[in-house]
Amino acid sequence: MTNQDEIAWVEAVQNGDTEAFEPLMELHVRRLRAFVALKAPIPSLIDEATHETFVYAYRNIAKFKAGTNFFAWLKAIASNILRAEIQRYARQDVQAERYMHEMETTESDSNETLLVSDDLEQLEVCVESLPPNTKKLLKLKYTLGHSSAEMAKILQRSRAWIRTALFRIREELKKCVEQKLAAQG
Amino acid sequence: MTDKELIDAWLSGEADGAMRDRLRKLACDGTLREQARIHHALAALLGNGAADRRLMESVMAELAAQAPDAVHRDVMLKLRRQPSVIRAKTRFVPLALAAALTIGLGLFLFRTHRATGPTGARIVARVESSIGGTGVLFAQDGSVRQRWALKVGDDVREGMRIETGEDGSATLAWTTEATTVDLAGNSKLETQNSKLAVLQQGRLAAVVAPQPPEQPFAVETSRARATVVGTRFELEAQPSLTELTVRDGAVLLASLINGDSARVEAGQYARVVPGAPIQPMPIGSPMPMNYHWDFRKESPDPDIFKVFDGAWHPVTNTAGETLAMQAEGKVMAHGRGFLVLLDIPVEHLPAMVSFTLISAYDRTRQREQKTFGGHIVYDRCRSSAVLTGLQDNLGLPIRLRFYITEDAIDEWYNDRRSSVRFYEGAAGSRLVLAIRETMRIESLRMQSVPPKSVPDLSELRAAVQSVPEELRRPDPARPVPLPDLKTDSPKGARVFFNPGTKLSPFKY
Repeated sequence: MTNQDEIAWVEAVQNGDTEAFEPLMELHVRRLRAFVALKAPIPSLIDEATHETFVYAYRNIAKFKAGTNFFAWLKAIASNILRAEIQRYARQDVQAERYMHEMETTESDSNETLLVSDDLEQLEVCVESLPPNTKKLLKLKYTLGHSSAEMAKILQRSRAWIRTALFRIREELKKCVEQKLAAQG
Repeated sequence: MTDKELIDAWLSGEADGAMRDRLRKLACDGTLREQARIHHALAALLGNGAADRRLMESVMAELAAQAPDAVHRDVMLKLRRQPSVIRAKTRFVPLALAAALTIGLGLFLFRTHRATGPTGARIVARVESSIGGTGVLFAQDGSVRQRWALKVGDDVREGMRIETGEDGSATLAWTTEATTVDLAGNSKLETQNSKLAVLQQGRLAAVVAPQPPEQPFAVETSRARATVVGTRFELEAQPSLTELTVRDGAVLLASLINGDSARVEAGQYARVVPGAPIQPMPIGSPMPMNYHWDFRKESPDPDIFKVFDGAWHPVTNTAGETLAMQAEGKVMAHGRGFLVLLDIPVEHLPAMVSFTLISAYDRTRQREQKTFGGHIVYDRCRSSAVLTGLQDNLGLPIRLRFYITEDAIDEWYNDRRSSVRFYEGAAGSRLVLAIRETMRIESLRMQSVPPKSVPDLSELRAAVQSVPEELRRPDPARPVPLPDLKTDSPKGARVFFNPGTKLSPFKY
C-alpha cells in the first residue's frame, strides 16, 4: 500500500464509491482503535468511538483534502467525538451528572491534554524497542490471546510470574511514553 | 495474589467478583486506569485483527443503511414534541467515558454481562420501521459481536440491543402479542425476553396489548421498572432519572433502588429519582423538589454524589453496621476540597439545602480544628460580592442551611448567618457542595421552598451596593468592612468583591 493508494481510495469515496472506504478503514483501523483506547480504555467504548469516527469521516469525506494526512484527520475526529460527548453530557440535565464536572474540557487542562496528546506514536516506538523476550510475552498475550495459565505452561513459569511480568511491561511502556512526550516538550 | 497480579487478572477477564473491593481501592490511585490504557492500546495494536474486522463490518453495514421512511419520521417527531417529557440527550457513552478518564473505576469494575443473543435465541419482535437503527449482538464477555443496520422485517431476538442514532428511530412489533414500541433517537433498548425490555438510554413510546396479570409486560431502566397492564405510555431513561408518562390506562412504576412504587394513571407522569418519593403529577405540571438522603441509613448514590476529589467512607459500629457516611477530602489549603456536584434546576428555586457536619478529623486526633466547614457555591459563576463574618471555631457538630436564589446563596451555620454570596448569573453553572477536612455528613436535604420562607436579603444587598465603586477591588486581602446592620448578619461583616473574576475558591 502506498500513499498513492490512500489518495486514490479517498478520491474514490469522495466520488461516491462506498466500497473504497473499506480499504481506507483497513489501513487505519488498528492504530485508530489504539489511539481511542489510550483516551477511553473501555472495550465497548473503544469500538463505539472508533465506529462513530469512521462513520463521521465517511459522511464528511468531501471536506477532506486528498493528499493530506488522513490518519491525522481521523484522530482529530475521534478526539472531537470524545470531547463533544463530554461537553454534551456536561450541558445536560446535571441531575444525572454531577461528577461530570471534572470532565468539562474547557475547564480542565489535564483532560484537554489527555484528549489531544499524541501518545500513540510514542507507544509504538516504545513497543518496538522492547527486548525480544518481552515482545514474545506480548505476542502470546495480545496477538495469540493466551490466558495467563496457558502462557505459564508455554513459558514454564508460574501464573503469578506471568501476571506480574505483564503488569511491569505495561508500567515500563507507560514510563517510556511519558519520557518521550516530556522530551518533546 | 499481589496487587499487580490482581490488576492483570482483571484486565484479562480472569478476576472474580470477590476481588472488586480490592480493585476499587487500587483504582483510586490511577494505577488501574493507566494499566488499562496501555493494555487496551496493546490489544488494538498487537491483536489478531478479528476485532478490527468486526468493527469494519459494522461500519460498512451502517453506511449501507436504507434511506429514511418519511412517514415514520413524522410520527417520531411528534413523539419528541410532547411537552411533558424531557427531551433527553443523555447518553451512556459519555458517562462511561468520564468514568474512564476521571477515576477509572465505575464501569471498569461493573462491566455488565449481557445476554449474548445468539441466532438461535427466541424471536421477540420484528422491525416494522427503522431510520438509522442498528441491531447489536453481544459476545459472552459483553463486547460487541455483531452490529448491523436494521432493515424492516429483521428479527429482534432475546438479548439483542436496538440502537437509534441522533435523528433515528425504530418501531418494533412484538410477535407474541399486539404490542408495539417506538424507539426515539439516541436510544438503546435491550430485549431480554418477550415480557421484559430494558431501556438503557433514551426514550420510547409503547402501546401495550392487554396483559395477563400473572405475566405482565414490563420495561426496566437502570433504576426503575414500569409494569404494564395494557396501556399507552412513554418512558425515558437517563443515568439517574427515569420518567414515565401515561397516556391511557395505568402503569405501576417501581424504583429498583429502594422499592418505592406508585400507580401512574392516564394523564399523569412520575419520576424515579434517588432520594425522592415517586409522586405522580398531572402532565405539564412541574415536579416539586423534595430530596432527602439519610446517610446514616444509606450510602450516597454514586450517580448523584459523585466525588471528584476525595472519597466517602462508611462509619461503622462494632457490629459492622453503617452509622453514617464520612466525606474525606484533601485540605483546602492545598487547593483542593471535598467536592460534590449537586443539581438544583432553576425551576426549583428558591431552594434550601441543609445537612449536618461532624468533624471526624477532630475526633480522631483529639485536638481542636480551627477551620473546617462546608459550603455551597456556584462553580463557574462570577460572584459580585461575598459578604462574610464566618468565625474560625465553629464547634461540633454544625448544622448547615443554604438558601439558594437565582443571584444569592445565604449560608447559615448552627442557625446563625455566616455569609451571603451574591452572584452574576453564568450559563452552565452548577452548585457544588464543598467540604474542607475530613467530615462526616448526616442527613442531606434538598427541597424547593416558597419565596416567603427565604430570609430577606434586601438590607444586606443594599449595604453591598452602597460601597463606592473605588473600593470594589478584587483583593482578598483587603475586604471592605460594613457598618453594623439591623438584619441578622454576621458580626463585623465585611465584603469581598470579585468583579470580573471567576469565583474559584476550590480548584479542581
